[in-house]
Parts: sequence; structure tokens; C-alpha cells
Amino acid sequence: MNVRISAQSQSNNAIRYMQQQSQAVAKYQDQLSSSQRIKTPSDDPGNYPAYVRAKADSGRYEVYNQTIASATNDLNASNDALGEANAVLTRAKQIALEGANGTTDGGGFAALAAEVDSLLERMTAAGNTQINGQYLFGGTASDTPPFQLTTTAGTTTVAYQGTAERARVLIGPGQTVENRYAGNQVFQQAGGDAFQALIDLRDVLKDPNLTDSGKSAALTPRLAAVDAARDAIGETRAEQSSRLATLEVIKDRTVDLKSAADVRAGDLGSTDFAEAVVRMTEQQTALQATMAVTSKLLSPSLLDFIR
Amino acid sequence: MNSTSIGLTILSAGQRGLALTGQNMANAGTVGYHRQSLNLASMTVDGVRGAGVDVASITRYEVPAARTAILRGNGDREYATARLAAQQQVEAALGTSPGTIGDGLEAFFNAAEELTAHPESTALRRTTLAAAGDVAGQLRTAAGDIDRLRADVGTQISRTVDEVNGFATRIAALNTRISTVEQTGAQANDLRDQRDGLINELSKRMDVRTVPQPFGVVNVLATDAPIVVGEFANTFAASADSTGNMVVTQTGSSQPLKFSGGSLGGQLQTYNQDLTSTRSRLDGLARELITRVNAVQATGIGAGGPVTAASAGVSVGDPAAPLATQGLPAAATAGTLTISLTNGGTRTNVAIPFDPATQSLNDLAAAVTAGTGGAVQGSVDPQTNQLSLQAQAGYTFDFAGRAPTTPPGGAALPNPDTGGLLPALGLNGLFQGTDATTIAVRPEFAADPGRLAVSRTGQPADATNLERLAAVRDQQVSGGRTLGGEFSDLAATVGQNVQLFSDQSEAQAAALQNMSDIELSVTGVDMNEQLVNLLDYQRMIDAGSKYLSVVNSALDKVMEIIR
Repeated sequence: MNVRISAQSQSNNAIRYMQQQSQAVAKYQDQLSSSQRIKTPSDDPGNYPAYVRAKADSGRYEVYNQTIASATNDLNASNDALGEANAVLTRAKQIALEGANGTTDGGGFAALAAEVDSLLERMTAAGNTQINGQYLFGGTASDTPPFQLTTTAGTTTVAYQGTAERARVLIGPGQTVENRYAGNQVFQQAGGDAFQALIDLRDVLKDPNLTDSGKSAALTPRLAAVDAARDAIGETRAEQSSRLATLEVIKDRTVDLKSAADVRAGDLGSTDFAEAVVRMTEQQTALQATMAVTSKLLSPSLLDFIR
Repeated sequence: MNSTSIGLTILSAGQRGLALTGQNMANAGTVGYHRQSLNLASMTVDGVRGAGVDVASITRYEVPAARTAILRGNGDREYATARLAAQQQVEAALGTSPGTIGDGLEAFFNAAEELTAHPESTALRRTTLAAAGDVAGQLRTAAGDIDRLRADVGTQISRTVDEVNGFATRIAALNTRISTVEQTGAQANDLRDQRDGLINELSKRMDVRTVPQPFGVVNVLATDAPIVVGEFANTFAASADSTGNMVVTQTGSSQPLKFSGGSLGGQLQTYNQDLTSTRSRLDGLARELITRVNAVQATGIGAGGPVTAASAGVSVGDPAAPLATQGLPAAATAGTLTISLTNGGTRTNVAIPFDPATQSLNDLAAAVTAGTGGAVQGSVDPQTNQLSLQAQAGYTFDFAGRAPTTPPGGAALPNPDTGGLLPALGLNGLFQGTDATTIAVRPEFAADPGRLAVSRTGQPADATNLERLAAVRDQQVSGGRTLGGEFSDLAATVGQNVQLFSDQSEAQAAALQNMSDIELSVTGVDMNEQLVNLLDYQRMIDAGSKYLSVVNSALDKVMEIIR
């Protein structure tokens, strides 16, 4: 204990404590008004990397949410297009059955052939489905129509102009989903070629060398080919549907991961209001006390008593 | 007349007392003032008869132990404060969220991943390229800020050394005056106050201790060199050494001096170590980003398909020397670079074996020309010493390693650049430059965003190269950390330093305040005490005057006998 207390050390101490307390009040005021506890690394160096990581994860899962939505969109559109292809083949089957039932005559076959021609166009349109100007069934070649129909000298051929690789989208760290299928693996599978089934069906219906009963007989194997094509497309539809279901699950998980990252970032980096308010009040009280004591302490002097 | 002279001594001692009390009161608030007090002694004639009072001496109160501790505390505190100031500026240079380099990296990789959903979108390509440009800009700004800060600290070092020289000269001059005065037996208290103030200031700049000498002289010594010896002051100079570090030397010597304390010590530590280590980590981060992204970009294909020309982003010092000796930003090893050559509808793969340990950049250029049969001409720009490749008319080329069409049936290559030559040279890359100061997105990308190598096949919906780009985000680049992790670790290290130095500075301030209280309890002026002293001396003069008047009237009575 110092016996002599000089005015200088009294005022030095008063200034230092007031500075310290004002600083603390300012710190909590800043935390409260910005609601951010970690603004610079020095606010909490130990937790800063984890905080940055959590914020980065949140931004990253936000992006995956968008790419998942986009992939879902693409797969839904291609599922719709395959639904259309399925409808086309179903109608083709009905036509084949109608032609095979033995009651159709020459004019009837011509009308059925004309309908198959329009079905072929619908099938081509389905294969050339676009979304945002990009073809869905060209594999990675999304800028050229995947299927080109050419008829030369009564023979119709379908050329596939896309690539054999499917296009894919990143939907998670190192995780992808195929969103654009190679059209030849969907519409032109070996033993299930949808275009060829339609072309052959039409050619039989149109064939001038066959009698009506001959046509009816020739339609039975065509019927099988149409069924095979329908099964082949059905397989792709089933694959896409299961992929959509998986995407739904991944989307849910991504949303969960994003909100978990947000919670983590919030826990680490946001102001704990209750604590900040209490601490600020504490520091304010201390500052007021220091000020009150200082104003009292510096006044008494022997001068007051010497008359 | 002994009685009269006794009265006179009372009056003069009282007046000295009043004057000294006045001086103390006047300087109650003067920093560095040491309280003084009068020591009175009774005067005698022949050691027997009293002859009044005498001012035997004037005491200047001091606490040498506390002073030594304060000098050391000053040095420690200023050392921490100087380093703190620099680290705070580094922290600011690294940016505050959401504008940090880490945020920029995340934005870049996020944009690349988003692009996988719409690889044909020019708008998203631009977003990705803009994000790449942003992160390059953030790295350049941070590096520039730290470089400027370092230059500022260098200037501060010179200024601090000048101040030290000034203080040393003045302390030496005061030593001379003090010893002149005190050799006469007098006390040069005010001069000592001045000198103590100067030593106090000096101790804030470097770690010093004092050694008292006869006649009030003090020698001032730093750890490595004497600053003031008696009446002589040494002078010091700051200069840059061959490695670019700042060193402080004593005039007439080339031996660098170490200062472990004070603002000078802190500034030297900041200049020579703190800032250079932060800067080199920033450079390392930029280098990893450049080479890893460039490696992916170079082996992919942009929207325009294979290219007709490619240029390097890295210069070498000597194009004729083995490449391994040229300090490339990423090490290249012996391996094979495969160039896919497209002519009309046919594609052939040309393998160029290359060993950087023995072959030079010129050799590489010649090997490309020879290997492709002249279809791709390799050359080294004599001005910039950079490699560039130019295809002959009708030919295009790429490094994606796709399956060749002639001979047909070949397989795609998993790694068309086994030696890592493309990223080492920055050939066909996204970024140019080699460190945080020079990193930038190549200017040709702004004009043609299609150059961003999204695919490995050139097909519009093929985003497989972007998957490789996105994978760079999770690759470990340094000490098991990713690019983003390395940045946040760097920022956290700086943050930790800020906190540490701030705590140290705070703790030293508290300790100093304590020591200063102890010193002031002895040397400081207590106003009440002075007021009491004032009353004492007033009494003394009152009494002396009364005594003289009594002596006077007694003498009058004696004189009356004669009349």
C-alpha cells in the first residue's frame, strides 16, 4: 500500500479505467448494432476458420440447391417427352391391331399409314425436345437436333446426330447426376428402336405389293417391334423416375445441410444478444461508477479547509 | 550580533522553503518532475554556540528500482504495440467478410459449379470469369497493401533511428552539464529531470538500461551496443541488407545490432519477419490457385473447340538453360505432353516426351515443331522469354487427350500432361502471373468468355472439365488445407497475433501503471502535503519576524541606557 497518493497517479488511473471501460462498451455496442460477433479474424481467431467454413458451406449448398433444381427440371422435361413417345407408341400399337384384325380394306390401310406418318413426326419432335433452347436427347451435343429424318426414294432413315456420352450436372461435392441422355440409347436401342418400329409399321401399311390379308399377317411381327420399343422407352422412363426420386432425397439433404451450415455460422459468428446486452450494461455501470468516483476523489483538498 | 543573524537565517530558510513548495506545487502535474524537499540543519559556531538554521541540502526523491522496471516495461510495451499496429493493418488488408479472398475463392468455385447445370450459358461463363477476376484482384490488393505497409514500416525504422540519435545526443549533452554543476557540489535536479525524461522516451524505442557514474552522469546501454557513454553519444543508421531486410548498425561498424524491445525492435521484427511470412503465404496461395486452375483449363476445351494458338503466362530467365533451373511457379517433372492435332475431320495425338532436368524451353519449342511435323510451330518470344505455339493453316490443336480418329479406336488419355508442363509454364491457362502481385485473368478471356474450358470434348453440354475445376476447391494444397482453408488459416494466424499483441500491450500497460504508481508515490507531488509544508514555512517566517522584532526591541532597551 502506497502511503503517499499523488494527484498524477490518481488522474492516470482514472483515465486508464475510463478508456478501458469505454472501449468495452463500444465493443458490445458494435456487436449489438451489427449483430455480428466475428467481423475480423481477431474477434475470435480460434473459431474463425470454422466460421468461414460454415459460411462457405452454406453458399456451396445454395448452389447445389440450384443445380439440383435445374437437373430436376431437365429430367422432368425429358420424362414428359418420353411420356409423349410412349403415347405415340401406344397409338401405333392400336393402329397395328386395327390393321391386323382383318376387316381393314385398302383405303383404311392408307389412312392408317398416314396416321403412322404423323406419329413418326411426333416421335421425332419428342426426341428433339428442347428446354431453354438446348436439346435434351443429344447427350452432350445439346446444340444440334439429335434426330434427323430423311426420306429418299420411299425409304425413311433416322440419323442420330448427338453424342454417346450423357451430360451431367454437379449436385454435391464430387457428386453428379445425368440430366441429358444420349438419344440413340433411348429411342434407338438394339431390339427396341422406336423410329424403326414406326417406319416398318408404316411401310407394311403402305406396301403396294402386299394384299390386304398379307398386310394383316405382316403386321403381327410389327406389333411385337412396337411393344419392344415401348418397353425400351419405359426402361429409360423408369430409370429417370428413380433418378428424380433420388434427386428429391438429395435436395432434402442439401437443404438440411445448408440450414445446418447456417446454424453453425450463426452459432459461431452472430452476436449472443442476451450476453452482449448484459455485458454492455455491466461495463456501462462500471464506467458510471468510475466517473462518479473520479469526480468525488479529485475534489477534496486541504485548500477547502484553510481559511 | 549573533541574535540578529540567527533571525536572518530563519527568514532566509523560510523563504527557501516557500520557494521550493511553490516549485513543487507548480509542477504537481508536470510529467517526469521529481518532488524536492528542503533538509534543514542547525548552524553552530565552534560547534558549541547555536548560529541559526541552514539549508543543508535539497533532496530530489527517486526510486531507482521502479525506474529500471519502468524502462524495461516501456520497451516491452512499445515492442508489442508496434507489432500490433502492423498486424491490425494486415488484418484489414486481408479484407472483412464478405469481401475477403476466401469469399472470392468460394464465389469462383460456386460459379463454376453453377455453370455445370447450364454449360452453354455465356452469362454464367461471364459470372465465373468475373469471379476469377475478383479473387485475382483481391489477392493483388492484399499483396499491394502489405507491400505498402512494409515500406511504411521501413520509413518508420529510419525515423525511429533518427529519434534515437537525437535523444542520445541530448542525453550526452545533459550528462556534460550535470557533471559540470555537480562537481561544484551543487545539485542539478531540474537537469536530471530533463535527462530522465529523455531516457524514458529512449526506452520506448529500444531496450535500454542505465548505469550511474560519479557526478550524476549516467551511461545508457542497449543489449548490443552502448548508446551514451558519459559525454559521448553513439550514432546509428538503418539500411537494407542484401536480402532486403532492414538492419541497424552503429556508425563505423557493419555489424547489425539486435533490438529485442521497444518500437524499433517491433518494427524490425515486423519488417524482417512478420510481413514477409504473411506475404509469402499469400504468394503461395496465389501460386497454388494459378497452377491448379491453369492445369484444368489447359487440358480442357472451350466453346470454340481446339485452338490455333496458345501462349504461356510464365517467363523464364534463360530459355536455353534446363527448365528445372528456371524457378517455375510449379515444378515440372519428366513426362509426356500429348498434343491432339485436328485437321479437318481427323484427329491425331502427338506425344512430346520432355525432361525439364536436361531440356530447355528452346528445346521444348523445337520438340513441339518437330513432333507435330511442323503443323504446330513452337517458338520462344525473345523479349518476354515465353513459349508460344502457333498452328499452321487448316490445323487446330488442344491438350485434352481425346481419343484419336487416326489411327481409329485409340483410347482417351487420362492425363495428357504427365509432367505437369502446362501449369508450370502457364500455357493455355486461365490466370497469368506467378504470385499474389502478378495474378490476373488473361485479358483474352474478357473478349471471349467461350475460351473458358468447360468441357473435355468440345460439346456444348459437356461440363466434365468444370467438375475437375470444382474439385480444385477440395484439393489439399498446403499442410492438409484447401485453398479456402489456407486463407482462413492465414487470416486466423493474423487474428491470433492481433489478439496476442493486444493482450501483451494491455498487460504491459497495466504493469507500467502499477510501477508508475509506486514511483509516483515517492516522486509525485501530494498537494495536501505541500499545503501543510506551506503552513510550516509561513509559521517559520512569522516566527522569525517576531523574533527579530523582539531582538530589535531588546536592543532598543539596551540603547536607552546610554541616552
